[in-house]
Formats: sequence, C-alpha cells, structure tokens
Amino acid sequence: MFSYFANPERFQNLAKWLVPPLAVLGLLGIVIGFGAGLFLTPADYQQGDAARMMYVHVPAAWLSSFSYAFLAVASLISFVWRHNLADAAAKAAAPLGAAFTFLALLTGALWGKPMWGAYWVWDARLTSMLVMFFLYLGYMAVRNIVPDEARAARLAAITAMVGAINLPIIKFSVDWWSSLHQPSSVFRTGGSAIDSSMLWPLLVAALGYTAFFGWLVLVQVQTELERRKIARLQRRLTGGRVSRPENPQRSVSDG
Amino acid sequence: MVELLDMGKYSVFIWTSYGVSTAVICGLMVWILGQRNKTKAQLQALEAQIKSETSS
Repeated sequence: MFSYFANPERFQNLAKWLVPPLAVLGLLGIVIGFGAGLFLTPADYQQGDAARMMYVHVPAAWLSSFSYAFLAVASLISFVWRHNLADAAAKAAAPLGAAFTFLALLTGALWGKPMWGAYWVWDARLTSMLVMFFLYLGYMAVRNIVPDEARAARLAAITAMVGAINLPIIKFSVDWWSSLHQPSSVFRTGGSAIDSSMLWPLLVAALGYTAFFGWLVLVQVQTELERRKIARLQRRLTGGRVSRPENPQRSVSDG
Repeated sequence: MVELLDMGKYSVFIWTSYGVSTAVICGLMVWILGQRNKTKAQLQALEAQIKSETSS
C-alpha cells in the first residue's frame, strides 16, 4: 500500500487534483470561521466576548496535535520502509505544526490573562503543548544541522517518533492531573457541551485549518520533489562530479 | 462599524489573537508558495539549459 502511494508520479497526479480544492476549502473555512467567530456568534454568558478567542485557539490546538501525529506516522513510514515521499511529507508538516502550536500557545495565553489572571501557568496541558512546540523545533534543528541529508532524515524521524509519547499526555493531561485548563467540550461522551450557535463556526474553522495544512503539505512535497530533481539534473550536467553524498534512501524515481 | 469592532474590555486580547493568527497563516502561505514558484522556475531554467546543450 505504501509503495502505491509513495510513487512520485502518482503523487504528482494526485496532488494536482487535490491542491486547488484544499486551498479553496482551507481559505474559505478560515475566513468564514473567523468572521462568524467575531461577528455572528453570541457572546458567552460567563466569558462575554473573550469566548471569541476560542475560534482561533481551539482549531490551532487541534491542528497542532493532528500535525504531530501526521509527522510521527510519516516518520515511521520513512524510517521503516525508507520512502522518500513519507520523509518529504514529515519534513513539510514540521514548520506548519510548529506555527500552529505557537498560535495555540499564544492565543491561549491571550485568553488566559483576562480569564485566569495570568498569561502562563505551569499547568500539565500548557506544559505538554510547550514540550510539543520544542519537539517541532528539535525536529527542524536536526534536519538543518546534520549535513548529510539521509542521516538527518533518519535522526529527525527518531526524534519525531520518540516525541509521539507526548500526544496522549496532551490529550489526557486535563483528566490525569488537576488542571486549570477545561476538559474536552466537543468530543466527549454525552455529546458536545457547546451550543450549536457557537459550535458550527468552531468546526468550520477547524475544517479550514486542516484543509489549509493539507494544501501546504502537498505544495511543500511538490517543491521537495522538484528540488531533488534539480539536484539530479545538476549532477547529470556536471557529469556526476558532485561531492554531496548520494541519498541512500530509495530514489524518488524508484517509487 | 466601530461598534461591531468594539469587544469591550477584551478588545486588545481578541484582536491580537485574530491578528497574529491571520499574520501567521498569511506568512506560511507566502513563504511556502514563494518557495514553490522559485523552485519551479529553477527547474524550468535547468531543463531549458539541458535541452539547449543536448541539441547543440
């Protein structure tokens, strides 16, 4: 199955089809979600207008964890089956995941100040999210610091896989420890605790964020494939007189 | 209009949240699409160079 999807030609054809609808869905979802969150939804009966920050905070927090799960699975596939496309997908997910984790932390802090009285508390949920942000930075640092690309990919994959232990900690931190952060309000037994007038913009924004992520991951993988093609053509032009070591991972042209 | 934008005592927190989120989303888009266009142009130039070298 992985071989089927790891074929670069098949990927490029699939990406050509998927990129436009994902771009439209992503941007529309974000614009509608933000607009509705700011101007259409009612203010919360306790938090007032401060609850409007939920529409930028919650989708960013969900996407940051989803993105890490994506990074860890892609790293596992790249590590075990040595598929270059999985490696390119993992590499693409890291900066997006880091950006959305940063947004989740920042918007959470901006909500925390008026609601909790502090921008930051060393709460289990907040701390595990901060750890995830550092894991993303660590992943990107490994990829940039290690000069040999194949070695960098394998080391970064190990970092991503080990860091996946943080995902259940983030999810269950509000249940395992006494926490200032509220427990899950949307996906919980007994149904969502949020009124439908406030739930739909949240779900639309979350869908928009996820489509946006998918769009930009695909674009980055396309870019990475082109970069590798450029490197191959340059080697051909110079008659193979390039000192950079050949990537021992399966060549993109092998599929 | 001003009334619509006024979020009371939470205005600064709300507008900063939405402003930074929009800036980061736009920044990611510009950065990633910019890289794609640059690489695409580089690849086309290289392919044109190879074509002209092989035909000459």
